[in-house]
Amino acid sequence: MSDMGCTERQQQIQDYLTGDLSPSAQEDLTAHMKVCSSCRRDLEAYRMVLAALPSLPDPSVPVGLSEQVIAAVHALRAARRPERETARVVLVRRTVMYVLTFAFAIALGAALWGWAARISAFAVQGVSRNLFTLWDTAKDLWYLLQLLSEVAGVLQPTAQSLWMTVQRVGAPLTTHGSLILAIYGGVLLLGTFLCWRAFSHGGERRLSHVS
Amino acid sequence: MSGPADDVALVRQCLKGDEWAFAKLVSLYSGVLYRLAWRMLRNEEEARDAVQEVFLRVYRALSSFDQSRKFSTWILRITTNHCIDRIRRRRIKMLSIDVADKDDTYLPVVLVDGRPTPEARYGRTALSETLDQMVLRLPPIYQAVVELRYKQQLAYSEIAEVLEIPLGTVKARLHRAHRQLKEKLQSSGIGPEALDL
Repeated sequence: MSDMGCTERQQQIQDYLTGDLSPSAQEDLTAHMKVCSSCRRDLEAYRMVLAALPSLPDPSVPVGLSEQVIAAVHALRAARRPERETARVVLVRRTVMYVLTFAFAIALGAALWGWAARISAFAVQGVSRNLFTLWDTAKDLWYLLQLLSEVAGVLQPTAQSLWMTVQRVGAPLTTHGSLILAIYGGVLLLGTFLCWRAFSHGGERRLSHVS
Repeated sequence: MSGPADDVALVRQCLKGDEWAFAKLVSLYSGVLYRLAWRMLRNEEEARDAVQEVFLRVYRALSSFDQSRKFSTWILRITTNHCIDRIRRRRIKMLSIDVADKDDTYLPVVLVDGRPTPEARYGRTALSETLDQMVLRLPPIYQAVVELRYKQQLAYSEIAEVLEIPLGTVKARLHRAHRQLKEKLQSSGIGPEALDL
């Protein structure tokens, strides 16, 4: 028999009752029980607790519980549907904005390439023989600066004022220049409008609602 | 409860938007969860709310359920944790078993009932009622282990999985719970002699 005290025997007694005690430990416990009335009482008390625990009272399940839960889940699903739609709208709007921004970048790159080619041609042909080209390029650069400043938010001309500016100057633009200008105008106005919609009053509120 | 494979099949159906599948899961588990919630909370209204809240959480988090695991374990974990949270929130109003040791207002009720003792049938009823109240006064983490072991009849390993604790911790908590219940029972005067066991 080991020198284990009665306090340490508590776990051994429980293991014995739950069938988790090794045979050798079981023999040791049995030997101790023969001489210890306190542990014998504990054994009976534990036996009583372990026998009674599985039969503690159970409630009856309320009638209609499943239906109540399913109704609550339906309500949740109905409440979440508009959120999902709003999230979809935001996704579409952002996608359109990114596509337009990309288109703008492509247009700007093409224009710069065109102007660079024109300036280099001017340099090659000589200033005296290309005054008209110089004047044309200066005007194009002026429009570009105006449009870039619009992007930066310094100037916010409308499409109408832009068109009036073009009319006032009245200079004939090359076909290439007019095309680039039209693309700029369209992309910038649309991009500005979408950015304003997405980031000012509407988009942020909807996004926070979704999250 | 249905088989684990059936449950996972239902979960997959739910994720495809099948409302019938979710209703089936609710009908399969609402009773089990209600009994567990009631056992831990001892209030019908609160147990109903708890079951509803658990299913709403399950519905929201169904896509994050690991389908290689048992659905029953997952939903029992959510329920147990939810009930423990609820108990902790109202804990300040509850008596712990330690306080009850100094408080004899409950236990003497059984002893002064006036019926002839010892009498086995009465004794067993008294034991069951007394023990039931004692389980309720256990700390929530012990109570959860006792409920899962004896009322849900889970193995130690399953309890460890539900509560996400090591197997040794499950056994230790169960031993401590047994010991507290045994000591309380002995101090109440209800013993094998009184029950004619």
